Amino acid sequence: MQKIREDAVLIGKNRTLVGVLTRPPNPQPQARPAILILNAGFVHRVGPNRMHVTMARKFAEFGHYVLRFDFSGIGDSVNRTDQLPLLDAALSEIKAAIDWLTSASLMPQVILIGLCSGADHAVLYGWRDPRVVGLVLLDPSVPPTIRYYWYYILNRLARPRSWLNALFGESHVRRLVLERINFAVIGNRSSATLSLQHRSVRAQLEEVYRKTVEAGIKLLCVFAENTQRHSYRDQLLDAFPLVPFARNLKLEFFEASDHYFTAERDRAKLTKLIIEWASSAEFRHESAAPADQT
Amino acid sequence: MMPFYFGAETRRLFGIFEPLRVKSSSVGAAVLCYPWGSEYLLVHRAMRQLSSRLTMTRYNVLRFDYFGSGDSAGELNEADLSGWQADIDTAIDEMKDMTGAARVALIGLRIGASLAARVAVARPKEIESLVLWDPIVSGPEYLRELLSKADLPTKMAFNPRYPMAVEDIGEAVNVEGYTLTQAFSRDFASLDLIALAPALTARTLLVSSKGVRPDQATSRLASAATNGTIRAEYVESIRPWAVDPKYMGGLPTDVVQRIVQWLE
Repeated sequence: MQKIREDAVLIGKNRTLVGVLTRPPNPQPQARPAILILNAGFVHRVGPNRMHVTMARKFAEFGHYVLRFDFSGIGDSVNRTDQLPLLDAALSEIKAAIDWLTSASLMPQVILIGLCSGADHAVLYGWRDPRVVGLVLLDPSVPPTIRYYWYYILNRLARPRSWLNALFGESHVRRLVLERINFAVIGNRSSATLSLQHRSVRAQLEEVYRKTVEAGIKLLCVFAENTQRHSYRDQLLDAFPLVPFARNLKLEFFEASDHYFTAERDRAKLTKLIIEWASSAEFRHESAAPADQT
Repeated sequence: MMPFYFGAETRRLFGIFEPLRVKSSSVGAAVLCYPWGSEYLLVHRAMRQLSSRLTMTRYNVLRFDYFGSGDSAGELNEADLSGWQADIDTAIDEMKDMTGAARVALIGLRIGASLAARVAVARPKEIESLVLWDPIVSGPEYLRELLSKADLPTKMAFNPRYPMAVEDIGEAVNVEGYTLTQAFSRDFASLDLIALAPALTARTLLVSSKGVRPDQATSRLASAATNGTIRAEYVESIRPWAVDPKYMGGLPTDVVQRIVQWLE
């Protein structure tokens, strides 16, 4: 019986981006969308807890070509020498990776998978490229809502540790409240939570999600409970009420899971979820914007 | 810089070969041996920095992943320390084949250092020099450290015999997201670098980043080698393998510089 195969690759215009391509055992051209897994923050392509490696192998067993690569300056990829801003560089490198992957796999459709900043990059890029038909967003950035603060504070108050922290000056709740006051009175926007809260940032994100949904891209969003980024399942829907997610979105909330899905049972559940979603969703992309405009 | 897979088809190892970038009359070959688990990800930038600096002196460098770790084949629950030691052997053979070098410099960090020491004892004629960067000196002590971070059932956490013995953990436990099997635990428990030290004949640099007050095990290791083979240096430095909010994103530049100078 044939097995999956992994190849080390150099991609990008100057072949400076390091990646690993995982090939399915019996490649069938155009059978299943190819998958591109993006870096989570500064963690290199193997992913936190090696989850990208394990996931890529499982996806390949189900017939997907999978590419994991490092953005420039991360992992083993060389730093860029141009002056392109970080986000623009990331978006151009995603395009380069998709160019390479679709050529290597002969599969014109691609699903982007990202955790944390990887999820943010995926959603910022996806709508621009007609080859992107699906996004798997693991703990993407979601602006806080009133209910977020309510649940967050309630959860914290229910923990004895939080009371101890409040007494000894290390309270997350107190910091959150002070930052909110700081922002309202002085306009200090240094906190990550506050930058998501800012009206223009929220509006831009909402626009990106709207374009993603209008392009027909399928979304699988998975949120982990034990993280400060969100505190309840429907926060994405409440944060962007004007986005017509409808059937384009499958939303999952992993209770007791942390941001890196450290428990193996959570990673196994996550991988199974993605495989089932990728097998059952009807993928398409309706976009007037060609990939070259990214 | 070249990423590639090498080794047997049944045990493919991922490596990054970084060629020498300057002219040198005495070209060397270096193999870097990583830690495992969460430490592997944490040290990656530091190892890359070390590799890059070495290629600006006189070295071609190979960094690689053990079987069941990083981008190499296999899963962690299929790995063991003797296999990882054999992977270092494979990396050395590959490096010698690629560069024509007869001998290599072996540089290891944490468990990578402990395994590198074992290889240096087993292949003394092929190891030009050995760098042990914060090695795991005592296996039982290291295992206690690992189990203290393990995801154990609550009743075990309240076991009066805590920290756990190997026999208590069942088939495997999760240590910061990585599987530690009972077999692997026994492997770690058997490590004893002090017992190994007298057999070390390679020119060896022991670097402890715990500053001028190293732990007892490191001090004993430095004393254990015969014929003065081990040069011990204590550098107050960022420990790249540990999470320390004070030094987020920082690199152990002092240690890297010292290793490069010593190897030059």
